[in-house]
Formats: sequence, C-alpha cells, structure tokens
Amino acid sequence: MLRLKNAVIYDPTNNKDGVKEDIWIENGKIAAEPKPEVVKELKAADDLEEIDLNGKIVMAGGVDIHSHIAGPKVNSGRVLRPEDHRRDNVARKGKLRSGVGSTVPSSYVTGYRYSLMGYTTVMEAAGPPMKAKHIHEEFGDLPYIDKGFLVLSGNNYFVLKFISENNQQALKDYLAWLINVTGAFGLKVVNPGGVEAWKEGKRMRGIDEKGTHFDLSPKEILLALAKAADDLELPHPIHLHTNDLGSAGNYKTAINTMKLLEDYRLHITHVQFSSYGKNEDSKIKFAMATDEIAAEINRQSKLTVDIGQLVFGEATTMTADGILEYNLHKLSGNKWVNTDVEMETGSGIVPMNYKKKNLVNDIQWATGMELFLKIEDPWKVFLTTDHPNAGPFTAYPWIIKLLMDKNYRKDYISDLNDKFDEYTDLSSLDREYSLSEIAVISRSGPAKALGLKNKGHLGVGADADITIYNNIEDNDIAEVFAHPAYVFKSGKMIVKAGELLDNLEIGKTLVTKPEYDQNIIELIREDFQKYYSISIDNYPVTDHYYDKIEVIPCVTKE
Amino acid sequence: MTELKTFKNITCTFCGALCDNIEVKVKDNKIEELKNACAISRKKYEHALKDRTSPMINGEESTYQEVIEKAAEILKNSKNPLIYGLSSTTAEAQKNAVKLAELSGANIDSTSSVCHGPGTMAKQLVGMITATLGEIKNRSDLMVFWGANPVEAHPNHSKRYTMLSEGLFKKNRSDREVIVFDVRKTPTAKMADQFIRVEPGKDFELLMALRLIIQGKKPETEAGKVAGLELAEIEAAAEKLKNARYGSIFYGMGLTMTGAKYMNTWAAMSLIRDLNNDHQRRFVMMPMRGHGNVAGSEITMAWQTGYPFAVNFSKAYPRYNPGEYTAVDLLANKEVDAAFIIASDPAGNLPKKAAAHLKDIPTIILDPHWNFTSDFADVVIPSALKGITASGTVYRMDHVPLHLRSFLEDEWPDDAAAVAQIGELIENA
Amino acid sequence: MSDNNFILITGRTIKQGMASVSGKKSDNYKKETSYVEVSKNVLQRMNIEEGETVILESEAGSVEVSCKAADLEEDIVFMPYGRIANSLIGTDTGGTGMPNSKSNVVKLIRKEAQTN
Repeated sequence: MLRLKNAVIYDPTNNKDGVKEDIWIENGKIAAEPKPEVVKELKAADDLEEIDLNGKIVMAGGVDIHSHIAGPKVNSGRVLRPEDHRRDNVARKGKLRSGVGSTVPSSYVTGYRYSLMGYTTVMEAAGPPMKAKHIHEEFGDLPYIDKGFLVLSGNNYFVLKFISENNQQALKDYLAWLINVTGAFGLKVVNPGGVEAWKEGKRMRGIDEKGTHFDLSPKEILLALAKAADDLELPHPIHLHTNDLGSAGNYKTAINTMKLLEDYRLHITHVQFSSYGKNEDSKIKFAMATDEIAAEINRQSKLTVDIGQLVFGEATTMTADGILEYNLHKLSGNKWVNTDVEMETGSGIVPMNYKKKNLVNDIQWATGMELFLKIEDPWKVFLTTDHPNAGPFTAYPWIIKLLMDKNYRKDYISDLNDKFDEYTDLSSLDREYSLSEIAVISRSGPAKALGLKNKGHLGVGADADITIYNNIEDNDIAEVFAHPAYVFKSGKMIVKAGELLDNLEIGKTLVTKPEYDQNIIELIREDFQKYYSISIDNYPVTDHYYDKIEVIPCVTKE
Repeated sequence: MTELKTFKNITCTFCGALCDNIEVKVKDNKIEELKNACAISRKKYEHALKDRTSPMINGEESTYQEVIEKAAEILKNSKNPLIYGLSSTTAEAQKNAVKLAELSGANIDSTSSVCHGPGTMAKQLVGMITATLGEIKNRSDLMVFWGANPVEAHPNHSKRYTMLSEGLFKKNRSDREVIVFDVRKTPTAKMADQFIRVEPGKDFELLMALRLIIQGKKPETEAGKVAGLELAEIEAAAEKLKNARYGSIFYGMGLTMTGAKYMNTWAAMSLIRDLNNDHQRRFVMMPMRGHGNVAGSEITMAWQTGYPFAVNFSKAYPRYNPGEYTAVDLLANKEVDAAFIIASDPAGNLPKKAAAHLKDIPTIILDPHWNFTSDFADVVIPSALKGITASGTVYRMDHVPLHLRSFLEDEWPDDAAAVAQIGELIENA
Repeated sequence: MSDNNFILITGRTIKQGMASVSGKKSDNYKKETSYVEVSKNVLQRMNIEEGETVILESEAGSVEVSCKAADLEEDIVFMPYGRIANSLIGTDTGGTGMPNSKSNVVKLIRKEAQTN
C-alpha cells in the first residue's frame, strides 16, 4: 500500500477544495484509509510506503477530451514536417525510447510530455474506421497514458444511407458494430455531410440545406446520430466538430446546432473555431461572437464544450474536415495534405504559424479566452488546444496561468495587435479561475463528459492517476503546471521532481462495446464488398491489436 | 491434418496493392488450391515453401540461437551499422527494427529510399493530395498513370481498384477515361484511351508545362515542343485534366528514378494541387508502391522517430537526412561497418558498386528464402513466411492497414521475433 | 545523343516479377533479367539480330546480355530490373538516396563488332 501524506486535495467531483488529507493507494486504485490497526500491520510487514507531500497540491491526473495523438493523420503530419522535429530531439535514456517533439511529436515523446505535465488520460479525437488498426498499433507505442479514440461517423456511407432511408434501427446497429469492430471509445462527427460534399466537388453552408448524393441536410444527420448515441447509452455523447468550422460568421451555425440538439446529450469540440462573428464592413471580416455562444451554453443543461484554445506560434492543423484544410491551404499558401478515405471520411493537414500581431489570430485567441471566462459553469467547458491544431498540448500550463491571473493576461494582451481592444472585450473581463475550477476544466469535467467514472477524481475506487503540484504561492503558475513534483499512473510513480522515471509502461486502451443485432453485418455486406476496397472480413480490428483494454460500460440512464 | 481446409480473404504480400481476396485450400501443410491470385502471386505461393534458408555462419550450418547471438554480437561491436530492407516484412518487425537501430546506434533505411522515397521528400516540400484506392474506384472519372506500369508490377490493381473495377459512382471501364504518360508504350499504356510519350528525363518540364497551361499561362517551348510534345498536344491533355470531376494520378518509378527525382514528384504534386483549385473538381494522386509493406516501413518509422526513412541513431536520438543516411550513399561511401538486411536483397536490387561494400563488412541477412545477398552474408537467419506461416500487419500503398493471418506451419520464428530477440541481447548485454 | 548511346530504363516485367518470387538463383530469374529491349529501327541500323548478345556499357560497368526487338522509341533501351541491370547503375544519388535507375546513359555495342 502507498500513502501520500499531507496532501492538499483539489477534487471537485468529491467536493474537496483544498482539503488537507492523506491519499491511500492499493492495486492501482484509490483506497479508503485503513483502520489504525491495519496501518500498524502494514508497517510491521514493511508493506506501507509513505511519501510526505508537505502540503503540495494534489489533483487527479489530467484528462484531455480532445487531442490528435495517434493514427494515420497524425503520422502523416509527422512525415510532412521534418522541420517541426529537427530542433527538438529526445535521446534514449535507460529504457525510455528516443524520439522527437514539437507540434507533432513521435509516439513515445507524446506519451512522455503528457505524463510530464501530469496528464494521464487522452482521447484521440478522430480516427477513420478502416485505418483503425493503425491507431491501435500506435497506441501500443504510446507510453503511460490511458487512451481511446473517437471513430469518424458523420460522413460514413452506411450512416448516410440508413438516415436517408429513415432506418434508425439499422443506423443504431451499424454504429454499435462500427465502434466494436474498430475498437473505438465513441463517435466523432465532423462537418456532417460536408466532407461527402467536398468529395463530390460541392460546398455546403449551414445545417439546413440538403446536398450530396444522399440528399440529406446536416440537420437530419445530426439528429439521427445524436439520437442513436443516446439510445446506445454511449458513455460519451456524439463529439461534434460543427459545420462551417473556421469561417467568419459561423457562430450562427453553432448556435443553430446547439438548439437543434438541445434534447440530446452533446459535446461540441474546439468550440473556439465555431464561434466567429462576421463584420462585412471590416477588412478582416472576423468579429467576436462569444457573448452569443456563451449565453447559449449557459442556457443549456446537458451541453458541454472544449475550447481548442489558440496558442501563438507553430501549429499543425489536421482534421477530417477536408474542405477546411483546403481553405487553410489557400489562406496560408502552406503545404497541404488531403486524404479522402473511401466510404467513410476525409482528412487534411496544413502547418500554420499563429502570430501575435495578426488581428485574425488575435480574435481567434481572444475567442477562446473569452469563452473560458464567459461560460459560467466550469463543468461545461474544458481545456484543449485541439492539439496540434490551435497549438500543442504542451501549452496548457500557460493557458492555465492566463485563466488564473488577470494581470498576466493584461501583460500578454499588450504584446498583441494594437487594435486588439477595438475588436474584443477580453481586457475588461476580470474573472480569474480558482485552483478548483482549473481541476474541473482539466480533469474532473472532461472525465465526467467522457463517462469515465474512475477518472478525473480521487474518490475511493478511482484509478490512482494522481498529479502532485508545487504550491502556486511560491512559484510561477505555468511552471507549477508544466512540471509537477510527482505523477502517479495506476498507482505507480512515473514522474519525480519533473523527470520521468525509467519504468517505461504502456497504459490502457479505453473502449466501449455497445450491443447490436448481428444481422447488421448481412445488411451491409453486399455494399461493403462492392464499394470498399478491402473485404469486410478483414475490416475488424482483431485482438492482436489490443494489449491492455478497459471496457467502459454503456450505461447512462439510472 | 489431412482434411482440406479453406482460408478466404487472405492477403497477398507481394506488392503494395495487397489484394486481400486470395482464397487458399490447404492440406497437410501444403497449398492445394489458389483462387484470385495474379500470375506473380501464384508463383509466390507456389514457391513459398521451397528454397528456404537455414541458419548459417560464415557458410557453415549453425543453429537458430547461434545465428541470433552472432547477429547481436556483430551489431554490438559495430561502430556504424546499417539496418536495411524492411519493406517486405511486417509492421511488427519494422517496429522492432527501429528499436534495434536505436539500441545499436545504427542507420536505418528501407527500400523506400530507392523506390518512392523521393516522393515522400516531395511531400515534405509541398504536401500531397491523395485518397484510398476504394475512393478512386468509386469516384474517379479520369485515371492517369505516369511512369507507372501496374499491369506488370501490380497485376490485379486495375481490376480491383481502377480501370476495370466496379465502383459506387463509376461502374466500369467506359465510365473512366485513362491516360498513360510514359517513355515507352507499356502494357498499361495499351489499356489506356491515350498514350502520351514523354521524352526521357523531361517529366519535370512536361508537368510544369501542364501546370502553366492550367493556370492560364503559356509555357516556353523549344522549337514549339516541350518534352518532345507539340504544345497543342499538351494543351489537349491539360484540357482533359481540367474536365475531370474526380481525377487521379498514379505515379511510378518513372517519376522518382529519373532526372530531377523528388522534384519530378514535387511538380506532379503541385499540378494536382493546382487542379484542386476549381471548386467543382477534385484530383488525387497515389504512389504505386512496389513492395507489399513498403508503405508500412515509412509509417512505423515515422511514429517512432518522426521521420519516414534515412534515419541515423548515432546520437541516441533520430536524425534524418536522405542522401546521407540512405542505403546507397552509406554503402557507396563505405561509411558503414556492418549491415543487417531484413527481408530484402540489396545484392540484387541496389547498384552493384553500392552492394559490393556488403561483401567487405560483416553482413547479416534475415530472410525466408535464399537470394543474392544471402549467398555471401556472414550470418543467415531463416524466418517464417509473412502472410503464409507468419501473421502481422501490413500497410497498403494507400496506408490502409491489413492483418495477415498465417495458414501454414513453419519451423522458424517470424521476422518480428528474430529482430526482437537480437534487440534484447543487445539491450541486456 | 550519339548513335550508340541510349538512356537505360530499368523496370518491372511480369515475368521478372514471377521469376523473382520463384527463386532468385534460378536460371529462369537469370533469363528474365539478362536481356535488353531495343527499338527495331536501332537493331536494323546497327545490324544486330534479335537474340544476339550485345554489350551494354555505362560509367558504372558493363554487361553482356541478349537483345530483344521491342516497340520502343529510339532514344531508350529497356532492361528488366535486377542484378544484371544494376551492374550498369551508378551510385551517385545527387543527395536524394536514389540512384539513376531510369536515367543512366549506356552505350550499346555489338559483341561481334568488338571481337572483330
């Protein structure tokens, strides 16, 4: 047994806001405090290890609800950008494999840097089903963290076909089958209908217009998918990248989508990219719309979002939204990768460099910050940079500092474009996040939204994924969150004094296994055999690809 | 086992098209019947169990354990070893090979560097617009083969994925226009609607001329010609490209092995990019990758090291430099002092003068069959047959992963196990 | 390009592919990789019979192979990819890692002419 003594606990799930207590760990889980006689016995048997934290801050391990860390798109980004890695080398050390870092780090370095930051669970945000084996292969080389992936389903042939046939039962069975055979955790929906339109050489706007070969509007697709996810009782609702993402004036599409799905569970990801106003008279067109977006989120009860906070500097944009990457390529002139994936999805990659003096980039940055500050309930808004789209995940500590320290925020703004205050009201926002609120947006909230009951908190029975930070009174906030004193993963110490220990381990893969009617396979077999380029028998991810998995049950209703 | 057993949807690992519809009937650990295999694949299966290697050290029969230990010893004592090949083995073996390279401070390079490596270098400059093969089957109304001859190198490609396939929106050959650009009238060219003969070494000029015409500009000509073609012919070809709704270009070694090499592919990728500028038109391209899992060699290396090939570990972290850490250069410049060849035959496939250096240094080969390299290698490690007696993962030319199932028994462990064992010996030494 | 100089195109043929998976050291593999295809016009001009042994010479080396007439332009000759063709390929990769496998210049020489 392990005892962490004199911890100052920030565990919002269990209403602990700076409570001084000990933490007990056994078999990789948080345990109840043993009775004094048991403690005595353990000590006598030399079975109790104690670490005195001397009042350091203790939180559950960080949980990232949306990050691109593994799979074909991420890997293509690595190949695309040798210039991204060259100055960021990580040498082999003991059992720790070497690699490279920067915005698209190698798999090992990705695991190291999340761990060094005290993050222990990360959700890969978008996987094309037919390349799922690749994702699981990479997961096998992604150390320490527990991870899962969201399977792309918003432009899938069978999804669109069953929706256009009004066959909700087949849709539900198909999605459940898809999650099972790809080893996914949940459903990702990217620009529903819009990616199919891109492949057909068409453009779609808003969510009402019908289009594509399937003659469906995004609205119809969204409703059917949200309903199916609720009916399947998936732990995590549909994880939505909205239509019209990235374009000026798109906040209306976002709000229409939020209202449309109000009766369903919904997570909107990197909402910053969906929250732009438009000013036709302005040269830059982009305007703020954070009041409208925040108001709608504040009004709704089930909706959650993550921000996708922009970080100035190098980034590598990558998404299943093929048309978006085309637009970014046209905008920036930068190199551009596009991969259309048959029957399922698309994808694209464009490197970007967000500049402090660029007013559009400033508006994007301010949109993220203002949403953090204007969304009242931290349980509805989570910390992400849509890594590596809006910036790398390694920037989280500095974002936390911006949220916790309004003076730092003001200093920061003084480096931006001179006209910043004409376009934004960030300078007038005085809210500062508390440590407890930071704990919500960086672990408790995302864990809850993902339906991970054993993550994001320190209650008895939770996974002993624990991060111990130095005090913020005596230290720079960003430094505190960038370099935890200790990190424990499944009860084992992996980071000490800001350094990884030499016990390279691979964490768990988180999956769900919703039930479905086996007849769905026969229902799709003929089209599959004809229009895919591989056999349906070779499609499922077989057990060879799983090392340690944890099946998260599909139970959302009490 | 005396009963005839049928295995369906087996994946053939010969070429980058990775047909996964092979049907095999097996009895007494022998293949009795084969269906859906192309002429090359058929020979591959027929020959699979013949001509097998056995453990050898310096030409003497040895044991499996001894050759593994000898290999570890050679790599451990080497100051600058080369690990090369990789494209005909599984992703599992490739991953282990990268780890082994790291442990032994080696250079690691795949046959990609003498295949589509230049295309990958071009992608690093300009990006790449591509699609999976099924997408092309379903949508492409114009198929262009440029310096590629799938009829001979990927014999079932046209039936399964392109000209002759049945797709969702494009049903048969008549729904697709096919153009072949090449220096010779290949069997693929004979299947096309149009063959355009490119003057050897002038692909770059022709691609740039097409780009200019599509951008509405007029290319400079020499005596009215570019790459041996009249401007009017090029304009007509450009018009066809412009009229496509979902065009596709399959490019082969005809682009990567000639003249400007990666700049040829750069020009092709830039042309494709330009062609996507019209909102009604999509255009994609695809390298016709040769070896079964050569795509996998770039993929596995990239997620572990950040780089696709030509990686050096002498500094305990990966460094990338094609032209320096690529096999031909390392061998021709005699920079490496030991070599571990995994599932490849450099003595047959590399320029003779480069391969010659292998004879001067300790060379280990891991391969199920004898070849020109195993002829003189100091250490020969036998291995199971990928997709026949060994399972594993392979990546198709469009990066679609497939799981190989084994359906026959073997006396030897597979590549992944051999490489891992060598790595363990070095790691725990 | 002078009369007897050609660009050597090395490449795959279906028979070379079939032979390469049927035992690299077999006679058949040797047979399928040890010929050169030359344009009919060139053969005629150089007074070379089909099947005749010719010498191909490059900066990297020289080989003797038999000759096949083919539907080729007159500026190129074609050899199936393999060990023999690779004797003619140099090792300069121009910093790319890729040798000139389809752009090497070779000289075609009649064997008889040489011995005479």
